[in-house]
Amino acid sequence: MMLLKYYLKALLSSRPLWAWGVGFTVFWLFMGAFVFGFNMTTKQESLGYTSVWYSIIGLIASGVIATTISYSVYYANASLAYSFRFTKLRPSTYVFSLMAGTAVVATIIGAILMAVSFLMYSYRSHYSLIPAMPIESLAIFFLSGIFMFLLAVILVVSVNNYAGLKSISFVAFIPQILSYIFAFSALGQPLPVDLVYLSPFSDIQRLLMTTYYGHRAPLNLNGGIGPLLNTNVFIISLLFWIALLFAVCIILVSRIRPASIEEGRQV
Amino acid sequence: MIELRNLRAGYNRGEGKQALMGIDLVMEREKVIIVGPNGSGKTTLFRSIIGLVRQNGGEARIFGVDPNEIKGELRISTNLPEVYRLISGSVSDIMDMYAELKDFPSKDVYILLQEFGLSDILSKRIFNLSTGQQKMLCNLLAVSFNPALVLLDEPFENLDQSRRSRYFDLLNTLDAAVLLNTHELDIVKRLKDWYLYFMFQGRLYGKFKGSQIDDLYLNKGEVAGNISVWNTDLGTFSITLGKGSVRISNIRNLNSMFDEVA
Repeated sequence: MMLLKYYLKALLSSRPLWAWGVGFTVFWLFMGAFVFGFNMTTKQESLGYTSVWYSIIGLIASGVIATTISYSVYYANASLAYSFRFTKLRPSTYVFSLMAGTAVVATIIGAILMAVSFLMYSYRSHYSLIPAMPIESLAIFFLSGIFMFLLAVILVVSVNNYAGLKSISFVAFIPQILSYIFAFSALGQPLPVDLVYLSPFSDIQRLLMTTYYGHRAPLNLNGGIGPLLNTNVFIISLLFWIALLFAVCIILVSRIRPASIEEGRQV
Repeated sequence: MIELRNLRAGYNRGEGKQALMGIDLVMEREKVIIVGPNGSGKTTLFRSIIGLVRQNGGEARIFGVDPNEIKGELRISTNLPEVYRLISGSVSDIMDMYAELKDFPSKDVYILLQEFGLSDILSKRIFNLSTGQQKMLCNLLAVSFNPALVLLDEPFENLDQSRRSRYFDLLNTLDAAVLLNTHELDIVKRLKDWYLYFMFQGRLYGKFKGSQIDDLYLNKGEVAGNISVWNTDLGTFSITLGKGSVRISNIRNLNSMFDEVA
């Protein structure tokens, strides 16, 4: 618990996280509400449109959190190697504490995005577009925080231990890049159903949409084309990924090798 | 406490040039100073002792355990700055967190910080501190939390005269074994009760007493009656006691000390 307190404080005072995780994503919510074609006529259509934007932006915000975590672990590699040897800190404590901290911050950011989505899109549509399942939606943000933390740590520690830190600035953005790919692929040519179920990124997005909209998500979010998908499968898939990544994360972190952060310098 | 046998370590894998070329050191509960020019391997030696640099040969033991196998050993601390980067927090957060991780109250380090006139840095983040303030903070973290063995890497570098003087006093009264390295010969004169080693080109030479510093002489070649022979890329040199070519304590710059005797 001790580490959680300091980590939460550090995360909540991270300017890049607020700038990109909230400022940048709120900007896109604004674009969705006031600049792009919001031509929904009924409340149900408006709620569906809002839930799509909310789910896309929610997934991207989670990806931004992963990038912040990646740099945090990158800078801490020698400290971790030292702390596991010469302090009370254990790999499991570290992973649990930071995972919990990231999940809490993801939930806070999710609550902000939910409130902003409600206010902006309700104002634009003149309907009261209250999310159907707000608590469940925040729970999905909590899980997305856990997933993104685990993914970010695994990527950075793998690179740190086995490939060298030269590629850190690319690796740190992989979760964010995947978030963009899966978020916007749902609007275009739909991905195969199995891939949508299997991808944790799609799971997060479809679950965010479902919890805002109150109905099952379709395969293609643009116009609601394709079959309606099974929410329970998304939940099971996401939990499976979290369990798998957690086990890998604990093993990797316990074997972290100290490396010079200068290795990450690009020029 | 520390036992190093033919320790080889470096930043290159395989047979490339090593930063440590076979270090032998046995240290009990005592205070030891290692003096060497820049680039001689002093910091690498410390990193290697605590497992932050890959060992490429030989053997290292701290409290009888391989540094790479150690877990939860709270008796060892260091002022190496990279070990205090667990989170990006304020100075007070860093101090509180490491106190908890070391299972020791944080009040000691707060008192020390006040004694060293650094109370105003508590709310600052480490990257906002001056180089001297960062060094002093790490120095104080290293000696807090009741350590039995402290590794101090260039602890006097970038410190002002007043803080240097106070830190000398603190180290001389500290109830712990200390392994300290420096590239400043003058420091040995302030730590005369300590044991003394010299380090050049990844090799360690000693053991001497700090109090002998005014009696140690550097000579070119292996002269009769020497007490230590140093084989370097610049040739062979030897140390004699009482008389010789150049009195070590008179050497102006360790980085060019072999030029002074040539």
